[in-house]
Amino acid sequence: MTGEIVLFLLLAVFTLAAAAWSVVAPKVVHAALGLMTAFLGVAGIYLVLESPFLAVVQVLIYIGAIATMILFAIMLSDLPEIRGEAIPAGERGTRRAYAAVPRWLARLIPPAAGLAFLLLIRWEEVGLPALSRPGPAGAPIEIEDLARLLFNQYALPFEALSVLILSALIGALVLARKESE
Amino acid sequence: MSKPLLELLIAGIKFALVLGFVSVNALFLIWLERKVSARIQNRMGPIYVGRPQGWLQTAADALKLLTKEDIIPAGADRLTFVVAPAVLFTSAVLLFVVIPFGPGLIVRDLKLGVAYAAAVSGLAVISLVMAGWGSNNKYSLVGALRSASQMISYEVSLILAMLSVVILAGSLSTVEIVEAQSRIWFIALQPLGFLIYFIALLAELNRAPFDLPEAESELVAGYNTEYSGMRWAIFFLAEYANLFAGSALAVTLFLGGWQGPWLPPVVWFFLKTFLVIVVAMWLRWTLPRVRPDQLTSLGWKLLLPAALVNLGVTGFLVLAG
Repeated sequence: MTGEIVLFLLLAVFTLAAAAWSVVAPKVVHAALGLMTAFLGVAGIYLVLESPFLAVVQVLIYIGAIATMILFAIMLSDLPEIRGEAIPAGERGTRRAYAAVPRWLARLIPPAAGLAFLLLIRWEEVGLPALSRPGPAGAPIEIEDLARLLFNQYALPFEALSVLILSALIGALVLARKESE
Repeated sequence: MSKPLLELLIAGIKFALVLGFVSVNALFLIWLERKVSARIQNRMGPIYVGRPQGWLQTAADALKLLTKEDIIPAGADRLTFVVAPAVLFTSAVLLFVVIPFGPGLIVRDLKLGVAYAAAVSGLAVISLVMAGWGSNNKYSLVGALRSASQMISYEVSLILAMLSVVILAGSLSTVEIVEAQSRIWFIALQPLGFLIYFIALLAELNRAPFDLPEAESELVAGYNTEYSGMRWAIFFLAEYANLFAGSALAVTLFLGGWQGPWLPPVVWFFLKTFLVIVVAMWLRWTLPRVRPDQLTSLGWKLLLPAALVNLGVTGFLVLAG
């Protein structure tokens, strides 16, 4: 096994464990932080795949913007754990049940996933039919190429996407705005 | 020794050097801040520990903090409470990777240097929210939310100002940006960009006049109210590490980095960086705190449009040649 695969496996287990934690964590804030940690793991995987630009964008957008926004929304919402009160008994019961059952599962998921990844990587050597033809190893994609594609060939979809996001922003403003009259 | 192992060793040594520099430098900056504030308020500042100018005072303070009891409040969320200072310090240390102290004196000349710096500094917001929420204290939470909203809104202008420099230099690498300023510093071409960057930087660092998140008169101490001992010290260390990194980036982007006549490059770099830091300290001790509505309208109604126009004009001029 090369160092790359070791790194990849470590990151994959890390990411999946964080994602599993995000699902089973009884506190909402912990779930959000788990999601953020998983994002970080994905950024690491991009780095292993020699795509630093994607990694930087992943951290900038998914952690710097999306995870922050999620945390913000949680902080501003009217949850008992934000108000500093104890979680209501009934809710706590269901949460505990929800948290307790998959806990042993959560412990199993990372090693199982790691094993699956290992199997996928060594698939052909094990003697199983190839899943996909490996493409020709081209030159690494530079930021300049990405920018050229984005602003020429994909300029229209790019703009359409920004209009979509803008409309979502305006929609959120309209929804969040209290009636003044 | 095999090559990857050697590389790992070199990376480890570089990391240790940066860590040592960050810690010692933060101690020095805290001493400097106390001296500058004392000068402005007509006082002496620390003078007894380490005569004649009290230069050992902050080292003594750090030792005292190290020996204090490690308190985690009973109602706190242990995990977030403990991890938050570490996250803030990590994001501060990671910033030092792309700061060029001199020709060849950089941890790693990343191709995406400026974008990397923007991405890494985004982690700070999350650590503050973690600290504020994990403390289970309303003053901490309000302080954390204030600083998070402030940092998010000023980050936009900050990054836009950085981008205008990137357009001028035609590169995201910090080393190439410094080299592009060999004829003329970018502050001459981007006076507005520098002003926007500097104001947004002060807001990013939660420093006065933008220190609403830790407004002592209303919030006790903001997000770090419940912290004490070494964890509290780490918050302070990270704050001053961020101050240095932000000023060093200002020097790299606008003030020609290590370039200058006669003196060695490293000396120039530190002279310029400390000049920016002292100006930031001077502003902190002479300006009153802004009101929340002033903060919001300055960020969204003045800085952001100005940064956008600046970016557009820069792009147009570079394109027109």
